[in-house]
Amino acid sequence: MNGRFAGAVTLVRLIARRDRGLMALWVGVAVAVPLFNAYSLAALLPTEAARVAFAEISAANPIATALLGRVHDTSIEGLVAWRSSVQSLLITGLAGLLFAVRHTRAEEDAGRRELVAANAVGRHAAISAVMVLAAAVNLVIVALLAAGLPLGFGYPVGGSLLFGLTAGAGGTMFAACGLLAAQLCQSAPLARTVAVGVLVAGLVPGVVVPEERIGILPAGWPRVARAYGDERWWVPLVPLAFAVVLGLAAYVLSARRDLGAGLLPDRAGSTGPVRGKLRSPAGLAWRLYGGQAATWTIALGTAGLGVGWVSTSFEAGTLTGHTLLEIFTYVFCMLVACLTVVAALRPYAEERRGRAEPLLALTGRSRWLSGHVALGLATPVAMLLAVGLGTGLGAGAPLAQLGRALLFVPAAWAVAGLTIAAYGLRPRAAAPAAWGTIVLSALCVALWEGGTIGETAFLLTPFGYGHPALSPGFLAPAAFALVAAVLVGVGGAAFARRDLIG
Amino acid sequence: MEPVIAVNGLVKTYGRVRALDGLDLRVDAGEIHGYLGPNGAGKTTTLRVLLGLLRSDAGEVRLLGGHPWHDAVRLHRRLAYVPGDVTLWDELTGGETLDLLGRLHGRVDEGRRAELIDRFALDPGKKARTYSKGNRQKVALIAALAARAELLLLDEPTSGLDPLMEAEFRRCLAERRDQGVTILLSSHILAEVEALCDRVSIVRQGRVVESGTLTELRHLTWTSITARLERPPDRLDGVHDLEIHGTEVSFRVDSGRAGEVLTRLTGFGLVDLTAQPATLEELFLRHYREPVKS
Repeated sequence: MNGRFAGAVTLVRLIARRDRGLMALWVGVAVAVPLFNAYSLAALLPTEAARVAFAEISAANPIATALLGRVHDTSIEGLVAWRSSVQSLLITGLAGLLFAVRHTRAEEDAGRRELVAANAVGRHAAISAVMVLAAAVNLVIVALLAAGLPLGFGYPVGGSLLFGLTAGAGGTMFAACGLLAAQLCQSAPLARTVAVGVLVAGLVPGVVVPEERIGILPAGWPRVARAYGDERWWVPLVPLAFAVVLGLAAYVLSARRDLGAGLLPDRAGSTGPVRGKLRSPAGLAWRLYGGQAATWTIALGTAGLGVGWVSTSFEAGTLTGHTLLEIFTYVFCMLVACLTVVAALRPYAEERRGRAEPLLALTGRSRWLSGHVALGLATPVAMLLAVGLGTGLGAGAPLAQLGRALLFVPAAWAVAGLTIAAYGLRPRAAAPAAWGTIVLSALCVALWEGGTIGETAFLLTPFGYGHPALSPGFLAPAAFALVAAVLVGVGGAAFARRDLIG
Repeated sequence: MEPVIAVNGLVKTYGRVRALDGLDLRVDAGEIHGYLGPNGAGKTTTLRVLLGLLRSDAGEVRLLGGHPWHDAVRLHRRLAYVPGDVTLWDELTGGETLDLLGRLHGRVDEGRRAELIDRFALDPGKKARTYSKGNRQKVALIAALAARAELLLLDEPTSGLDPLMEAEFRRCLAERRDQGVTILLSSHILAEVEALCDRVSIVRQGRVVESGTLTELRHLTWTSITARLERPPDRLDGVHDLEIHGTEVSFRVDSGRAGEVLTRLTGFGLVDLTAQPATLEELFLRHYREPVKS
């Protein structure tokens, strides 16, 4: 032993103290999503006949089949388990791996591991603390699901427990995956990218793997477990076994490596004089964030190409290839809106971390902000171009698709404008305002599709005029462009007048 | 008696860079040992190897009679460390951070900690997010000085402290030394080292180029002498940098040869004399202006 675990208990208390809010949120979301599904599906499909019809429609929907598999059990609890399976794994998995990287490699990047490790703290302590807490959080999620589904909706206790265990064990496995990535990668951002990549690879490509072999992927485990059906209780042991193996690998690496070292190194930078582009604030913004924007643009273009190509030969019941293409283009546009928020929030992040101050001592405020705003406004244009070109080339209709995607530019700019205006006026409110707008707008899509709100109200949201079921004129995009311009102006003017945040 | 720190031929490479290139270092019990060198000379790397945060590639390292990598946890209970660049947890207050670091160390004198908080004028109720660099440094210093440690490893600990706090820090170190604690103080502030340290090692490009007490180091150097004479001398043998302004002369004389020069000065009618030993700064600059002998 040699004291390798020394200090783990204190670290558990430290992490629990720092992240009590985040951990409560993690539990809350992971428990709320299946409960919400239980509530809404019961309201939507009250009778067995409605559920059978729903199962038939779902079987004809290739996206649903690819992501969730076929409906085997038309009881209400069977449907809820089917609908919630991948969602639950995604939530517990993503939260677990981000948590793991945050308390290992990110602490090391920040220099706090040096401060901690110089005390009587063993090389396994941090990993053990994260593992214990991730398992504990997942156990709470399992307990709440096993209690909440039977108490709230009268589902069988056994099935609810198995459903919870499948999600909780999966989440624990992805936390261990995050721990291993944190040991392998030399920086926290790289570790997050690698771990999220593994999660996506494990959950999404149900498209590639046939239904009968889906058990080889984490996405298939809930389907194999068949909660509420002929339950297979050994299934949660599979992710737990993986979690043990991944955790042990992380132990081995952390006990052998130097502080700050990793097998996957960060890229070494240029040592010489900066190249031409870095001479202006816009150039710096591009150097800092351009690579990320370019990566997303390429990813969106590639995904678009795949969707476009699939749509040409697609025909399933009432769903034609053309409709599929429209729906996916809309989803891509919503994703671009989220990435626009990320881009538009960058000046806030720069200012909060104290990196704006030295530059603002050299250059004017409007010049500094304009660099970030320029990149923030150019990012959605580039991404939408990629979406339009990708889907268009794949489907053999580049011009039409390009037009459809670029029509969304004013809406994305309006989102960016709102973020920048909030940043100028109340910087600390910028992130909640921007993400709140995205969530509300997405909610309005569901409300409008369900007939709760009218078309006029829906058209006031940025996701309104681009909806595939509406044929937009040019009035709505023009109005959004105007609003965006005003908001950016307001943000810039307010930023020039306010105090910097420290 | 076995030295507290004994390093022989330590090598540490990062890729093609040899950060430590056959470093030898010896720190005896109960001394304040100054570890001098400019940025990038290998001071922090040495401390990290001593802490078992980095593995050595070659050479022998003994710390408090143990192996820094294999016995890390056991040794860390007996030492305390202050890193050069202190980052703390934004969400915790200074008091919570001190409590946490104390728990992680395991052996803390709580009375002394309270006294140190007072002496360093730290407000422990504030969140670490609001602390300046100097205040973050104070938190790490208080945690280290309050630990019941036999050895303190300090990596440029006064960067960010104001002169008042720096003076307080020097008093604290002197007290700890008087209580028998061994201290390795890495620094590039020469006045601090000169005021505090019993022995000094000067590191350059991953090697220790000079090590000893200040007196010993001065033996290898010179004394600066200014004298007023009755008659102006025309020449003076066995001295360096001789300057003659009428009856006033100033020059440097190699250690151990002051006597014969004084005899010669008396021949010109010595009126007045001031002699100054070489300052640490002069010693240091001498090492860094010479090209490295390979």
